[in-house]
Amino acid sequence: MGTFIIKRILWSILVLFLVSIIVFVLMQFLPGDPVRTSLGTDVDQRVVDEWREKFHLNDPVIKQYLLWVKNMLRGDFGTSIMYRHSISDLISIKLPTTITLGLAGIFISTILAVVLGVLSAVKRGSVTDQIVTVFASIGLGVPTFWIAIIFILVFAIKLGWFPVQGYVAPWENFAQFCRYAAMPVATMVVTMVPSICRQTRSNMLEVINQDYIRTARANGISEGKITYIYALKNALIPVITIIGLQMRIVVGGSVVVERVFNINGVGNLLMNGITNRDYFLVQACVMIISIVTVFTNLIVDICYGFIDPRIRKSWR
Amino acid sequence: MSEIDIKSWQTETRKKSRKQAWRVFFGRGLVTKLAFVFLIVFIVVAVFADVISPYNPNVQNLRLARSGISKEHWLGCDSLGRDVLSRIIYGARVSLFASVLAGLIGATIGLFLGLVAGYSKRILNTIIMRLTDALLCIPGMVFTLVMTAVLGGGLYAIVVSIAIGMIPTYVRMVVGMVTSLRENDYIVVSQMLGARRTWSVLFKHLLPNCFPSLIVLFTMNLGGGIMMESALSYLGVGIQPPTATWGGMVSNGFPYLTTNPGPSIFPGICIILVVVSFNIVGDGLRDALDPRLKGKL
Amino acid sequence: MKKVLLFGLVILMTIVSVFAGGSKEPAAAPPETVTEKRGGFLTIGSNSDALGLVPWEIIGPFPGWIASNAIFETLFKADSAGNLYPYLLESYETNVEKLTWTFVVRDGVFFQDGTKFDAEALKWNLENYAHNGIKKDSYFSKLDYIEVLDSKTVVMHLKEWDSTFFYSLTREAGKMGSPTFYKKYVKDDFTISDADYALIKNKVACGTGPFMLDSWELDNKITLKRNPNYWNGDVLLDGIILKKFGDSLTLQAAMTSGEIDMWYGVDAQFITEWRAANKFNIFFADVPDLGGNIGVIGFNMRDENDPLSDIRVRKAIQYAIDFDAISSAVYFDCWEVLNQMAWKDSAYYNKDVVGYDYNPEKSKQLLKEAGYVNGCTVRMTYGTDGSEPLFTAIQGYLADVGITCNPVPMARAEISAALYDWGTGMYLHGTSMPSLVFAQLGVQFLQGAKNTFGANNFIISDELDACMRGALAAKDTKQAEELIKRAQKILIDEECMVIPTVYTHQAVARQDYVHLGTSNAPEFFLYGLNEVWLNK
Repeated sequence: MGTFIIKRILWSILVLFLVSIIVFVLMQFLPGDPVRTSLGTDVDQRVVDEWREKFHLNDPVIKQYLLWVKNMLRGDFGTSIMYRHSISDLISIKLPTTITLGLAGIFISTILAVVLGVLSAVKRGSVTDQIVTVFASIGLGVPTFWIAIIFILVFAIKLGWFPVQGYVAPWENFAQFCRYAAMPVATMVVTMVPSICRQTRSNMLEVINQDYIRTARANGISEGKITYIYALKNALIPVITIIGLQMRIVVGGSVVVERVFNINGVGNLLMNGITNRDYFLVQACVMIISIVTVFTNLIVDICYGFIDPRIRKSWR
Repeated sequence: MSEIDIKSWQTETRKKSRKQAWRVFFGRGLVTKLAFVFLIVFIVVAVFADVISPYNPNVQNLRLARSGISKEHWLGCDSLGRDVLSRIIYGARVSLFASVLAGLIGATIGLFLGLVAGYSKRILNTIIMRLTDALLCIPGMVFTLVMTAVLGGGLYAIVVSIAIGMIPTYVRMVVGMVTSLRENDYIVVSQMLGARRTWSVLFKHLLPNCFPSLIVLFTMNLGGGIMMESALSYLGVGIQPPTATWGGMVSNGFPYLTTNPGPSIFPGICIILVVVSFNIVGDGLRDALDPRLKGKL
Repeated sequence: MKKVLLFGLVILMTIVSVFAGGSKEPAAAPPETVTEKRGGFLTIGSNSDALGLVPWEIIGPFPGWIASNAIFETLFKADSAGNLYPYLLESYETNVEKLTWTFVVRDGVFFQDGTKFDAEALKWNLENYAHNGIKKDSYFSKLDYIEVLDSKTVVMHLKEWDSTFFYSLTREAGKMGSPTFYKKYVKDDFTISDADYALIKNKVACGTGPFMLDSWELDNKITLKRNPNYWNGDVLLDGIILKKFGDSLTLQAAMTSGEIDMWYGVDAQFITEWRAANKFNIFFADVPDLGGNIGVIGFNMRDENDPLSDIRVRKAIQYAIDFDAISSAVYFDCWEVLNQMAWKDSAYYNKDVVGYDYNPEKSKQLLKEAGYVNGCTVRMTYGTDGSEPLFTAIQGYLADVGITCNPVPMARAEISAALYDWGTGMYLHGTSMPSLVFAQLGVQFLQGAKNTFGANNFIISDELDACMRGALAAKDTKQAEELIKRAQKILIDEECMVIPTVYTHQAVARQDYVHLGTSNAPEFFLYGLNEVWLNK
């Protein structure tokens, strides 16, 4: 088990290095000059040159890359040209928001999706199953930004149940957090539940028809026990991978969700960075987002490794 | 058996399996048939937009701004008095074009890289696979967003970005297939017959076996491509006014949601219908062509 | 087991919805009472964050500048008629021959850190502005030196007479910060390190105003708390919260649900709707001496390969656009459509300017004369921050006469950088130009100007230059007015250099329980925040 974990961690680090190279190279091609754009018109060339020196923009590319990586390892993600603020500061304020909402979304989606998936698998062919399947199929095609706008129209504007935009952290005021987070989380749920639900359902169906289930039934074990102890445990294993994948989608989708609901998270920060051609900010945001994704995958894989010995074997 | 007999036996088998595939596909029920028909309609509408659209999508009639459903304008007008239905029809063209082109580019490059990675020595394989993994660690939305900005925005930037985002899935699938097929006896034998024949092995044997899965993946990705393109248009990364795009329409209609929600709602419904149809058709194709993929795609 | 799961889910959802339910009704309007109430936080919503709280870098009117008005006060203030009066000063004197301004500092003015506002403090602020001020080139370029005569008197010596100086002291250059405080961050030679700059930009501030900076969550909200030792009376509110929202729809919902008490920068859509329904007490909070904002599109006349260098093409473009229709569709008939760079009741409005009505036939005719019988291609640079509807509408009209107008969208930072040289084509000036003060107009169209609107793109005739210079140097307002009126004729009818669009104002919505002083006059919102109170 130990070898597995270590190998897995090393692999994650390697991948993150590759990601940093990809991101850094991409940023070199971003059109527009962030320094000039940020400083504005009333500024001499001399001042622009000073800034370029200060941000090491005139150094050879490899040197800039190594400097960037070195600083990142120390936790310094550079200075945002547009905010004139330390990026680490900005991220430390905004990352908890994105992660909290993401976790809330994943948590609720998983519970809902597993319940629905199991229900429809166990009651295969019934009305429940058909309804769930139809909604899951439609849900796969619902664009995040659109369903968010529909929620705003119906629940915030017409019914006035929830505020249109904004965010309050759960540790500041849990009741307000529920109010503000309700719609963003609902949006994430609508986009995530369909795929988890379908996967759960098809896995459950597969497992239910296995020999060992038939044997258990023949041995007189109750239907309930069979469903929830034997079948579900085995069916859930691939679902764990899907949940891991959902983190990638949730964090990526946070760009849209945070934009529509005007939430101050890393997604919104990234969008602002792109709009204002702030290289350092964009680089940092993409790295942070990737680090979160890689870390989540690592955790998921390790859990997976605990549960399924075959996975551990494949990493030898 | 003689050469000719083997050939005709192969043709017979192929014909039978094709017939079988059609039967399975359409045997899935009414929904699949409906989705298939809807997609045909979508493609026809997109391609023949000039003929089908009741109005020019960019013609403004400011006096009619934000007007609702009427006899002349079946889905109403947007904030600048442009006909919503016409803009949806032309938007279909943008969506179809973007997703098909992105899909083709992604599939071609992905296929090529996958074949190379699956078939070649360890170093090349490792490099390609690690890069693919790295790309998959950057969330799709984030990557395409940044890539589009880097490429300067606009339709082609979006297409290329979505295409690049699709490459990893193709690479992984092709590598998986190649790895499993490589061990087959007839491949080993072909290899023993000489290095010159590597490429012919690839093209004659591996490639045709990949096709069914490729087609399924391509169709599924079309839906994903449309979702991505509409999200990028919504975020406003590049398709310039006055071009009509579904995502752009939703975004432009947002400030007037209370008085005139049509321009924001209708394009979204279209997106749902099209993407769901692609998924259903993709499911059907998967069952018909390569049921082994069930549960994986 | 299934039932338990389902039941549990239902309970969970009920709990969440209990927490999450909210009321939609806005607070009912209380009966009018005269007695002020103390306390409470005023929440003001707007669609952008403040740009910074460095007193010598503040420009307005942008939503964020409410924060600066609460923390810093200016040497002069304007009353509702636009007349300036000394505020932090007791008196002032100008001497055109000797080229001096003499200021006498008011007694009893204290900064938020307890230090006194005296002549030395004034001198430091002025000198600092001359070094670091954001508009130092426009306003302080003629400054020679400053001397302190005694503890209350400061004399500013100019190299050349400049009448625009007065106005700057009401706004940008006049915001006084505590030297004791800021000298911790600004060195003796008036340079500032980056670390220090980052701090004074959005972490710390110290002025003479009724409110102090408590915290600033970037892109989210600024919290101000009352200054308990305010030198000019009592501060009725406990604090002010300035919240940033994403767009007008959210702000409208926030006003309707009572989440915010005021909305600064109301959209045209809601101005019309709410005025008609008599909701939310819409008023205009223009800076009194600046007036509203003149929207304008500039032509690059210098590129000889571009169709716009031909005056007939420029005129054709103006004839092609129906601004009345645009005013109704894009601006909800809220704003006056302009035909020159002044609004109808302004002193600088020239009745003899003809302008260009909506006449597509004439437009096509002019194009034909210019040799573009099959149309031509031009481009327009505009900011993505809200100018897109106007751009698209104009693009549509130009397409009707055969002119293809290609978009060049830019984000906020880029668009301001492009102000003085936007390259080929037209430029849609998003923030537009303040109207009342001729000084604003006067510094725009001068030959050889560097950092003004279209400095590298306009071809300014000698006569236009003479008019503007004359107005700047004019010793009486009547003369300045005549010169500016002549300039209007040149700008619009004779040279066709700009397309004026609409005359806008900074509209503010206010809940009924928010009282601005005793009379609810707009000035309190900008300059009398200590007298704002909530009847809650």
